[in-house]
Amino acid sequence: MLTYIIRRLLYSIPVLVTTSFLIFTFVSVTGDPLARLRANPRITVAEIRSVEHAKRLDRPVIIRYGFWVRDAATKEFGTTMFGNNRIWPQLKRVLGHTLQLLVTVQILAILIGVSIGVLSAIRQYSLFDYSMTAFSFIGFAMPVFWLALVLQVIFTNIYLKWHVRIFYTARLSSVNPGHGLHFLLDRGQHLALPVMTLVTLEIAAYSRYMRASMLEVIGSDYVRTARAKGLVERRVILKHVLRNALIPVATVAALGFGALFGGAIVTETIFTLDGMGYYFITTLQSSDPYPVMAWLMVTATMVIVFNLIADIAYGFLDPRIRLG
Amino acid sequence: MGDDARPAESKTGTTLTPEPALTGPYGSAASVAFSGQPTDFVYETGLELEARSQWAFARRRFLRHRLAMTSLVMLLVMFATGIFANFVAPYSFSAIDINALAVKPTWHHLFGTDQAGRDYFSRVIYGIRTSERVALLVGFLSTLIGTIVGGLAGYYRGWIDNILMRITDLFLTLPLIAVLLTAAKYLGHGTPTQVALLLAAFIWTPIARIVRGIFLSLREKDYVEAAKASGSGDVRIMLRHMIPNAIGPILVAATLTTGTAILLESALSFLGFGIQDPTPSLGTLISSGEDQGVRSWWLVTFPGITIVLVVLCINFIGDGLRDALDPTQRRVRA
Repeated sequence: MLTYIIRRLLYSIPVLVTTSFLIFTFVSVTGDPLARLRANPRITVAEIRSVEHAKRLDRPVIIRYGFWVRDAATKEFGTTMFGNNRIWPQLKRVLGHTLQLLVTVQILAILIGVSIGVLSAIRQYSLFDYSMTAFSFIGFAMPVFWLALVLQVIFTNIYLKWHVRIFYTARLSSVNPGHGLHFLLDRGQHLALPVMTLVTLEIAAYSRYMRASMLEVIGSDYVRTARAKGLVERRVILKHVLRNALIPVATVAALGFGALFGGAIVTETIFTLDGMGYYFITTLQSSDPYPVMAWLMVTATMVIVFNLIADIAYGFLDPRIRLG
Repeated sequence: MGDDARPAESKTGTTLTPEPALTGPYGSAASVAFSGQPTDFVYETGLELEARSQWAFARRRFLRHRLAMTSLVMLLVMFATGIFANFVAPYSFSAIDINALAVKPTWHHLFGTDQAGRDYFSRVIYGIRTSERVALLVGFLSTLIGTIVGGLAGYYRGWIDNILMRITDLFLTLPLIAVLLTAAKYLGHGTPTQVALLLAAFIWTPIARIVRGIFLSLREKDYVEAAKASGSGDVRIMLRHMIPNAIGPILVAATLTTGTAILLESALSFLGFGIQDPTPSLGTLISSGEDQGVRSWWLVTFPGITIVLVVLCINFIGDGLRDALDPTQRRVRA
């Protein structure tokens, strides 16, 4: 098992290095951060030269990559190109907020999605199964941003019409969120709609995976044996089927975390939530390359870590993997 | 095509089993022959079944897939509405009706109007036109790139395979939408063609993986070896022997990619990194609907429902194709 973990760990290092190199090259070769300065007629060529020199934009990309890696490693991604604001404190703040959102989403989606999948599989072709299948298909065909907008429109109109505040439709906290339980309630009311948006779409996927995985295990020989030796159906399902059927879902859940960051970009932008996604869109619009690179690096690192966890978990759960 | 075989059977007065095709391509004739009857009996009663190609079987399976056929008809209707938007749409996409500013859906304006008095039903139709152009172009281009790269990687293996796998690994480490947004920001966006090229440049990798997988197994097949022994070149082997055997999964992947393209295009346009405003696309319609405030719920609702319907149809067609083209499964009768 240990060699398996070490092998996986070593494999993820080159992936991370290549990712960082490609991110840096792509963003710095294709974009010109000084375009706005150049367009300004009152700034002379000499001034632009001096800015280029100060920001090391006149050096070859590979050398700038070296400087960037140094800054990323020793100075927490350094500062923004314009305004010299430190990047990491901001990124850390929004990362915390996004993790609150995504972890809640993931837990709820797995709990609900797995339950739906199990019920669909043991009552295959029932009304419940068909309606959940229909729900999943609609979920797959639905744009995230649209679902978020529809929820926002519904709850804003409820507030405008009856003046009842069920959920907030924008921001992460009220101006005066209070302390303790009040703060938690306030945060919950703010996070409810973004969570609802992402959970709905995640459930669509998890319930399908779980259903397929359950059906595959139910059809296997050892389940027939378990039934043949007279076990109660409940015990067969919970003890023999469910445990094995959960293994692939564990991997899907860890791998799905990366896609969830993508969903967060859209959802947080709509609900103006002070998280990773909203930060990404705002910095992308400001055409400052360094926060964008830092964002991509942090996300890539998190996804690689989650993939690692998924692989290691898979190794623990399924001996065929670590021994194979 | 297979249906014309039936009247011929009944004319000769042979007893018809209710499902003659279930037993296989040469169905009843073969079973009679193997049941020990003299073979001339088969010829005398004229049980000549027309030989059906694999494609004929696939087509029959698809035509009998009710959900896929319904979706295909619906999608064709929607796409045709988009193509002939100039004739179908009751108003032009920029026409302003001063007497109807921001009105709810009525008989005159089925999907309501925005604050400038533009009819949203017409705008949705023009939006379908833009989105379908983007989606079809993306579907075609990404399938082409994916098949070429995946095919070369699977056939030659070696360094090209290595590079392909590293690229696909990379796409697994970053959320696709973040990559697309960054690329749109730095490579430019705005026109449907630009957005389509951008999407195609980044979503061919799953298709390449699929094709690579199939080619890896096909290259070990005996008929490929036979073709090699008879002196066929690599290109001929790939085009004549391997692509035809991989066409099923490629078609399915191409269909599903087209659906993904519609979703991604609308998301990019909504975030302001896709198609730009004067051109109506389904994404920009939702985004300009959002800008006009939450009271005009119809501006957000109808373009969204259109997207869901289009993508739903495409996905069902993809499922139908998968069922029809996968020869190992016989759930739908041929």
